[in-house]
Amino acid sequence: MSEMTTAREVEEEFGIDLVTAETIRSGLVEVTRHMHRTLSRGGFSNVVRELFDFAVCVHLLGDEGTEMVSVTEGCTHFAFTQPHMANFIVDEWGMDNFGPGDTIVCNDPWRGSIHLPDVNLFRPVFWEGEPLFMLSDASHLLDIGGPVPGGFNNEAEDFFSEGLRIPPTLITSADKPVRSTINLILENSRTPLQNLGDLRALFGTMKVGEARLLRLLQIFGPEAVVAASRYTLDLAERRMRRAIERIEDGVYDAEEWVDDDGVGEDPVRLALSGRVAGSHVELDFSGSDAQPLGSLTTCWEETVRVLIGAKMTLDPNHPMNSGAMRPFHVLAPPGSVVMGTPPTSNSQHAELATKIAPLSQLLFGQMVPEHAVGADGGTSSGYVFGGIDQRPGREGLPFGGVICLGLGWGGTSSQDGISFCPSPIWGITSPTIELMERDIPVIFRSMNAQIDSAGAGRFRAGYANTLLLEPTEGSLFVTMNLDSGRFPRRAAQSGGDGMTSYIFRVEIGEDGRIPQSQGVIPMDLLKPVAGCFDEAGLPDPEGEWARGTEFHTTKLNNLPLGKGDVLFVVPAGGGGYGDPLERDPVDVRLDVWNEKLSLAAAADVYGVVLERASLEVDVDATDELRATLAARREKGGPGPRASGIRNWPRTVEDLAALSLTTRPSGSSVAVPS
Amino acid sequence: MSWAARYIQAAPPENPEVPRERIEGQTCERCGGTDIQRYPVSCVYGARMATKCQACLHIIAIERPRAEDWWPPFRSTTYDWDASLAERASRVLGKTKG
Repeated sequence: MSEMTTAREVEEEFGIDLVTAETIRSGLVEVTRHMHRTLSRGGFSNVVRELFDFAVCVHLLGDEGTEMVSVTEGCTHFAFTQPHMANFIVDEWGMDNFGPGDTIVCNDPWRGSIHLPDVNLFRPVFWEGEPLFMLSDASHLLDIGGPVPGGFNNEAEDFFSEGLRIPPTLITSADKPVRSTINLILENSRTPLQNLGDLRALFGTMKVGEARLLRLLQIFGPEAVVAASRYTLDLAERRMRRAIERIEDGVYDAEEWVDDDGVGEDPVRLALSGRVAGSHVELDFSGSDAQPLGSLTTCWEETVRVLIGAKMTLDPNHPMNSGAMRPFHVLAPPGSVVMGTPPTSNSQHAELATKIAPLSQLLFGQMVPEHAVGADGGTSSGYVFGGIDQRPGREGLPFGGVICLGLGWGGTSSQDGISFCPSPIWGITSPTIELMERDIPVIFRSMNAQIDSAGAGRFRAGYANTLLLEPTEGSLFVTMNLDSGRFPRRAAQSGGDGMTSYIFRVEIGEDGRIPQSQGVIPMDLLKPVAGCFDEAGLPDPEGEWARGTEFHTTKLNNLPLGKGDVLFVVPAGGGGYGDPLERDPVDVRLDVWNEKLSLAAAADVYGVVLERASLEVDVDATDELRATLAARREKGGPGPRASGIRNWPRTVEDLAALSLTTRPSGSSVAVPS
Repeated sequence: MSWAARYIQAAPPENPEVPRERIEGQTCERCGGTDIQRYPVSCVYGARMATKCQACLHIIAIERPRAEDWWPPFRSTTYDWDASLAERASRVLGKTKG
């Protein structure tokens, strides 16, 4: 690694001036931006065009292996898995066997893919007959066959029960689509038309990327572009190593728990240690549970997805490339939950991945305490719909769709956690509800923040997105990728833990309405499907797991729903940061005014007393209450409780009372400044 | 050992561990440590075998895995077979771009 502290050193090391090096570095990112726009506009399925569940990358070919030099916004974890997958592909296919216009497709988790529905394409870029770069793009196809629409078979015990496994296979040869490969993919899927549209968009994206990269080579020449690529990688490496060098050498440990594997009832432990020595970090998953029978296993990708927490904590602002991965070695025991061996299944990779990010953040937060954060909701909260349409004009057409609800992120040392944002493992977007309702026979009755659900803290967590859904015609099947129903989400620095996930069935009122307020529905109208409940049968994050529930897991598989079947989903909340008694009372008041926090929780959790009619802070009463709560804690009393509504309203009348605790009816309340 | 022997579907171990080979008689050039071990890692290039000093984590060697290293845990049966003409037609045709 070069020092690169001056422009002269850059020129001496790479043979190009700093301005040219920086111009090409930006040009490489610009190549991926053109690819991104092509794919997002050309994709057919809502997964591509709206969720942005895809990746576009440029890799530099080298003797030791390939390294990703640029990537742009998309689904985060691809930025970490694509570099390794490019190496798997080149290693197995052989660079000497690639020709211009060749593209390889692969979806195999044992070759670095995330799961079977993801098709990953790799295409070398030649200059005067020599391959210099590799482009890659990847996207989640709506369906890849197997017994469950969408490919998430949460009950699968092997990959034969999940879908089509595609080893490295030629899908374009000299720019011509290979018919047999295209047909293999389309004819093993329930959604061939969407898949074909997405595949063509992926092909077009490669063509655009190749044209832009060739233009860069024409402008600056191949020697300069390759040199600037090396500069780009070294710069990211240098920044990461400098951040690591500020960490005290030593061994750090962290753990996370997943509720279950969807088949058995035992929780699954993830252990991660990090040993820091100078500018090098060795991460080790030893101590993690063995691969379970169910589909909660991954086969390679955690060795790179674990670096997401490192990037977020140590060098979050610099563009991602392989240089940032150079300082790390990752150990993963074969046969463990993070390095499963054939023929294990991995449909629930997302519920593992969404624990890997907070696990990694927890570990690196210990190394850099000022960057510690509360855990996010720790689940994909992703729901996959499939079926045969019965709506007029669409009879007999297969449909599919995916929605990922935003989570609450944990509080940080400087601000409240983000609300309604999917896991940092991917950061994909939520789809447009109206387009979902057009494409699949379902109506989303509501999406809300639920009052009192954010982990308490000096900086509280964000709010998760609840969902109320109902089929409109015929029947559909939904697979629910949801976790964090069993263990409240971890707080940081004496904050309050985040609430757990819940699923309910809902009884529709005689007038066709479902009464709700602040994201809460009366318990008399709810039937517990999964979650933690107290002895009275009310939701309680610190209650008993699966007490009186229909299922012993929140990972529901291919659940049939018909018109009139309504599901209410409440994803887990994140953990707070810092002591809630130190939160600015004005911020507590603002949350109450915005109906995010009840008056009762303001007092019980934050020690803030608000005047009921005006919602003004009673300073003297607040000081007194906070002193009382602090003294109680010093005598060994409990710390901040896990977030979540206590005394969940049972009736419509109780629900109205809940509303009265936050916004006094008929009173004049000033807007907080 | 052929890669063909690698496509097995044996039951996973109850207590999975990272297999480590202790290298006898070697000393770390950085710290003088004698606990030198060779084990599978995931590094920037993917699956590699690392030889490192366990006292200071100095990296003594990084190698591509051999067949007997069983790393990564899966390799295809045809891993070391020659490519067919169909798989490298574009290369053979010799078309170039740029």
